[in-house]
Amino acid sequence: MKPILHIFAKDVRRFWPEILVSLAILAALVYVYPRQWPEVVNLPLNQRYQNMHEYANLLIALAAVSWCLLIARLIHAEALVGDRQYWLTRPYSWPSLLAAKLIFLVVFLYLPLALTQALILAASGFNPLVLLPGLFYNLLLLTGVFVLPLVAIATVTSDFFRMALTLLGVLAGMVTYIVLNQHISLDDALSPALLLPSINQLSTALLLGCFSVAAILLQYARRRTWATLLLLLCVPAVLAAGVLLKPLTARFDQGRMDRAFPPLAAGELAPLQITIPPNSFSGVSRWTTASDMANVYIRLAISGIPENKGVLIDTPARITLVAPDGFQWSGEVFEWSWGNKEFASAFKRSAVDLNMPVSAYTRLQSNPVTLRFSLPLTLLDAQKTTRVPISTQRFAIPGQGDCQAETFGPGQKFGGKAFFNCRSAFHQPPITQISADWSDAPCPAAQTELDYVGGPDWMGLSDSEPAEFGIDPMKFSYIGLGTSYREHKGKHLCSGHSFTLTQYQPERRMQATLTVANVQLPALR
Amino acid sequence: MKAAIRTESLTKRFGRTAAVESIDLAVPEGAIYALVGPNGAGKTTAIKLLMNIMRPSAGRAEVLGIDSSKLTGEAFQRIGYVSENQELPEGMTVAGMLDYFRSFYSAWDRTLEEQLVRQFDLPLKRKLTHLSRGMKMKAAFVSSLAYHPALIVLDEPFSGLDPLVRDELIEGLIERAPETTIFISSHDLAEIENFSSHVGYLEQGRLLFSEEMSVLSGRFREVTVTLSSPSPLPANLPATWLQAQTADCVVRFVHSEYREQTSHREIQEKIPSARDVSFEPMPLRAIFLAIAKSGRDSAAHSSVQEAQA
Repeated sequence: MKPILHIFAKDVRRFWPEILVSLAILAALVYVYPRQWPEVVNLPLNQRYQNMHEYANLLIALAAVSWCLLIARLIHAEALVGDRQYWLTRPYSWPSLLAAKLIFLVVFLYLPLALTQALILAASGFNPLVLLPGLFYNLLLLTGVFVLPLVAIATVTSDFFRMALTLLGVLAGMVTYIVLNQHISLDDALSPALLLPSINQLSTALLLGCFSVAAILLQYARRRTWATLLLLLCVPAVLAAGVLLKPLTARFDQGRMDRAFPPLAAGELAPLQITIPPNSFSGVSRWTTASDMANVYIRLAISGIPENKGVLIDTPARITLVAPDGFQWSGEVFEWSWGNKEFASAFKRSAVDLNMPVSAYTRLQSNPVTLRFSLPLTLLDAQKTTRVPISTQRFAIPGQGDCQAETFGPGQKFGGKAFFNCRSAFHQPPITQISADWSDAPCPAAQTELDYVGGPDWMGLSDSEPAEFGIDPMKFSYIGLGTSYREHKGKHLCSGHSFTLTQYQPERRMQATLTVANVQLPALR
Repeated sequence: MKAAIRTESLTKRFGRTAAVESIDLAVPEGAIYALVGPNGAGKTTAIKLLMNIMRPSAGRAEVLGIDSSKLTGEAFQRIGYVSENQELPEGMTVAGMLDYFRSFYSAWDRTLEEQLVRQFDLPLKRKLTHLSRGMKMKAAFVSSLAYHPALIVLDEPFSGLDPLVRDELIEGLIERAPETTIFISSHDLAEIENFSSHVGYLEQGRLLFSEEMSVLSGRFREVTVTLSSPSPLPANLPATWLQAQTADCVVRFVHSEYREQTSHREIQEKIPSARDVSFEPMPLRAIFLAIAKSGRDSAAHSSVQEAQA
């Protein structure tokens, strides 16, 4: 223990400027972050956003950079690359050296970060002690995704300059990975989104963390830089192989899809029905005048969802258009209208956007076609409902966080678009529908017209981990009631009305095939 | 005698280049062993192999009875290592560094530390980064001698130092000699000649010989043979006669296996016209030059073999 403390004390004496900088940044973050809240600084949102939200984001970025520097300086103080370091021929034992470095990180990175998060939570009205599991989970993610990989890279570089170059290389690799991943996507392959339930943040953190720990131990115990580098290079190699082998893994992915969303049994009804509403507008246009690709827009009516249930259409939703002569075209739904893929029991309109070759469209358009949807669905069960009188006060949603209705525009609340500014700790709230007991007619003279909105909206996630990766503990949801779906004409919010927030919980996942026959596609102009 | 350092076919290759080629070496306990050779001969690599800073490509080494590949942590309680290329904790003051190192050594002698600091006139409050090369080397010496190491390994410790600093360091080192084994590498023969007890000569990664200084000095002689009449060098001269040349009635060469009882007769047999033969002892520098200039391999190999025998 004695050598560990000596090395630790030496590092503290040597790196106090770096420690001070990193602590100062966190202190500034604790000061600035809560000033995004209207109850702390009484300014309209747009001004608060400009003044404080961006400062907070800047401080978060600076904190990450200061930790990079701190980790680099700390590990390079007893560099593992090279053969001129004094410590190689002194009575250092590598476990003591590594332990001293870890204690340093705990004291000057983890503890200040945990304290910062606790203070921000407290300033936001949350009890940090209740949120300890989320805090630890977040630190676990930070360890696997950020700290351990940085330490591992520091062990195979000899100074900060080389480490910065390596990090730039990692960044370039990540960009290449994303670009490749987007370009090597086949119609038959599933989108990465499907894999999210299994390849989540924790899996990523564990994968990166395990490779990093192995590299760190190998380098400290044996100082085999090339072997350690090869081990670290396994991570991008695995990712690159995953992208390049995507065409070959389509069948495998389909198997994963079937396991994640089991197909409905024969005769079992899907929890929602799709029809084409009468007199609805559909359209088609070429991407450009000379393009051989067309964008097709088809209005849909969603119905048949049982009472107190909701349905979330997951990714990837596929559609097949079948002509009477047997010709068919199949592809992924490019987008659901207005980005809404959650539906509750009330009748609802929606629409799909498709991109398909003009030649296929021309052939399909000549006669009525059959639409066949293949949808991964999550059936949601309505849980507790919270009714909140319309006001400008922040109100709590039990077990979720708190929200405040406010406006982007200057002047009074509800003077422009009504929307909720909700915040929760460490992760997005559970999937929640927000509606109001609004009026289809203008407000009576006795009541003040507060707003004119489109209808209910959704926020949150159907699956969320105890915490999302991030330095700041707060997660935000901005839900504009005026921008969601438009099956009705606008609704009027009057004084005395209430908002209703209904939380849902995933009940079952399934794959459903829905058919709509006799659909006449509009002519391509 | 027990060896503080022993190597067996110790080899280090970098790609196709052999920096150290099959070295067999034994440094007796209590010796002051000088590993000499020109720049690039492989001295630093050999020392890094001994100190487990590098791993050998083949062969093995033992240092204080420990396999060099296992030389870590506690083993360095008994070893002091100073190198011209070694990085020190530059951000620390001299006192800070000594304070820090002191905590790692159970045998650290505070009195000896203070004595060495005074002897080397070290500025304790100055940061290492602000010290001259000579001062840094002195600080490194103090931090490597103050715990009475059983073995002191020095890699070109005097390189680039002014004579005054060099003498101070040598003085400090010689004071420690009775209690320790010293292994020192140098390309400058003059600086180690006066205090080394053993010497090894390394060239192009090969150890050409390794023996006690007195034995080495004893077996090398500069020989001058005066002939009764001018005559050419006889054919088939022994391989132990280096740099043989003749001018008028004089033949000169370096005898690498001089023996007081037999060498005179041996010369008379090889050169029957020899009228007078004189043998002059050679300084170490002259011996190395003779080896370097002559057909090294054959002479040196035979010397090593004979010395080992």
